[in-house]
Amino acid sequence: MPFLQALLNGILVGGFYGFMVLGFSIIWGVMGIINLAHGEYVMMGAYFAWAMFRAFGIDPFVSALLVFPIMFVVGYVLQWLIINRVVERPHLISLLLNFGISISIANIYKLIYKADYRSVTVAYAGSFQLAGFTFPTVKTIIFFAALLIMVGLHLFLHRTRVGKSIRAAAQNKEAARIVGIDVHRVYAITAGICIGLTAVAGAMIAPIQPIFPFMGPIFTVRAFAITALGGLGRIPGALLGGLLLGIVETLLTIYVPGAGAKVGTAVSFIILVLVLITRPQGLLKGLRPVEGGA
Amino acid sequence: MSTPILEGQGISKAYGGVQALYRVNIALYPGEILGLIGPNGSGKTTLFNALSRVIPVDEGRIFFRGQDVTDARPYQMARMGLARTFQVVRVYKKMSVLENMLISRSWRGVRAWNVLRPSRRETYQRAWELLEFFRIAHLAHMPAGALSGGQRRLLELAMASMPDPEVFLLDEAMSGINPALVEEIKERIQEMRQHQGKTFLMVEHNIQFISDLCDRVVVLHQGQVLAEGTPQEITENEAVIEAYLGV
Repeated sequence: MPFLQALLNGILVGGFYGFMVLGFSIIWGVMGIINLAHGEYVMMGAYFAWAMFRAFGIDPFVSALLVFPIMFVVGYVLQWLIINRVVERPHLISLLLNFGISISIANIYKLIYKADYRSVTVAYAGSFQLAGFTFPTVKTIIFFAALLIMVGLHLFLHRTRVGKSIRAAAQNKEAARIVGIDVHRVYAITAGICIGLTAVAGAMIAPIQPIFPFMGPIFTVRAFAITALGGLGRIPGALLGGLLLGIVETLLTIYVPGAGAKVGTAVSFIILVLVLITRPQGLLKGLRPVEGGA
Repeated sequence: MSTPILEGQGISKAYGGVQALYRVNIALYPGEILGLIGPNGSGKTTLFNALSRVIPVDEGRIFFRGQDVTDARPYQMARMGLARTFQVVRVYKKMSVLENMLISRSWRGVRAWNVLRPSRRETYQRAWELLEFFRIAHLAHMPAGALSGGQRRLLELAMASMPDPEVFLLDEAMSGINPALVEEIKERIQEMRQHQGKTFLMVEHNIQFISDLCDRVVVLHQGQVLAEGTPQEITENEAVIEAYLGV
C-alpha cells in the first residue's frame, strides 16, 4: 500500500509536470526555439497568484484563469517584437536571447519582490481519503485541471483554424506561407498561448511551492527532461514524460534515504543526460529538429 | 494584349558570386498558360521563388494585378490569389491528406474572430471534390507522409487548387505522376483556363507537355531570357536548340 500511495503521489505530480512542460515543448516543436525563460514564466504565474491572494484574497485557481490573458499578451508581444527577429537565424542566437530574457525577468522580480520566499496558504491545503488512499487536495485539483486544459488544448490544435495553422507551421513553414498563413503571426499566437499556459501552471502551484525569483531554472531543467522523454509538441508525450518524471522523483524521494525533495533536479538532469546519450532523437522520437521539406 | 496579371521587370538575383537571374523580364497574361523551360541551373526555380516572393530580389520590380508586390510576403501573395507548388513537394507529413487540404483553404478575409471556428461544410466539400479529381480521395485519412512521391505531388496540386487562386505557378508539378493522369490533369488545366479564366505559369522538363498545353514559352539560359514565343517557334529556335535541347 505505501508503494501504491507513492505511485499515486507521483502520478498527481506527473500530471502537473505534463501540463507545465507543454509551453516549452510546443514552442520548441513549432519554432525550433529552446525557451530557456520557460521557468521564469512559471515563476511569473506563481508571483501573480501570490500577489492576487495577498492583495485581494483571490484563490490561486481563480488567478490561474486571470493570468492567462495577461501572459498571452506578454508572450505575443515578446515574440512579435523580439524573438521573431531571430527565429530563422542560427539556434544559438535565439538560445542566448531567451537566456538573456530569463535572467532579466528573474532579476526584475528580485528588484520588485526581493529574494524572500513567499507562499500561499489556502484553506483547502490538506488532504482527503478515498478508496483507502490519501489524496492531497491541491495536487488533486491541479492534476484534474491540468488534464482538462490538455484536452482543451488538443481540441484547439486539431479543430480550429488557428490550431491547424500552428501545426502546419510546425511541420512545414514554407508550405504554410505559400497557402496564405502568416507564419510570424502564428508564432506570436503560439508564444502567447504557451507562455499563458506556463503562467497558469505557475499560478496553480503557488499553494504548494515556495515562490522566489530564482525558482525558474528548476522548472526549465524539468521541462528539458520531460521533453526528452515525451517528445516535442505532443500533448500525450508531454503527459507521459511528466508522469514518468513525477513517479521516478516521488519514488526516489520516499525510498532513497536522505534523497529529500531536491532529488527532482538531479533526477531530471540524469534522465536528460541518459536520453541524450542513448537516444539523441529522444525516447519517443521527439527531439528531432523541426521538420522541413517534404 | 491586356495588362499582365503577373509581371517581373528587370529581376536580378545572385547567390554569393553566382548570378542566378540577370535582368529578367517576364509577363503572364490573364487566362494564359505560359511555359518556362531551360537547362538545369538556368534560374527557373529562382524566378518562381522571386515571383511568389519566397526570396527577395536584388534588383527589379514585381507586379501582381497591376500592384507593386516587390516587398510583399509569400502569405500575402497567396491571399491575393497566387498559388504555387514546389520542385521538392511540400506537404504536412504528419497530418492526414484531408487535413492538408483543409489547411490549404482560402485564408483570404479570415479575421481574428473566426479563426477559432472549425472548417465549414463547403470547405470539406471542396476538399473532397478536389481529392476525387486528383484520384487520391481513397487516401484522405492517411498521413501525407505515407504517400508515394507521385501521390504527394497530386496532393500538392490539389492543395494549390483549394483556395481557388487566379494564378498557379507549377514547378515541375507533373514529375512522378503516371502518364494517364498527366493527360487528365492537362485537360483539367485547359478546362480551368477556359471556363474559370485561370492563369498558369509552369516549369516543366516534358517538352511534349509544354508544347501541347502552353500558349507561349519563355526559355531561360544562364539566368537570362534566351527566347520567347509559341511552342513551335521555340522548338525551331536555333539558339534554344543549342542551349537547351542539345540537338
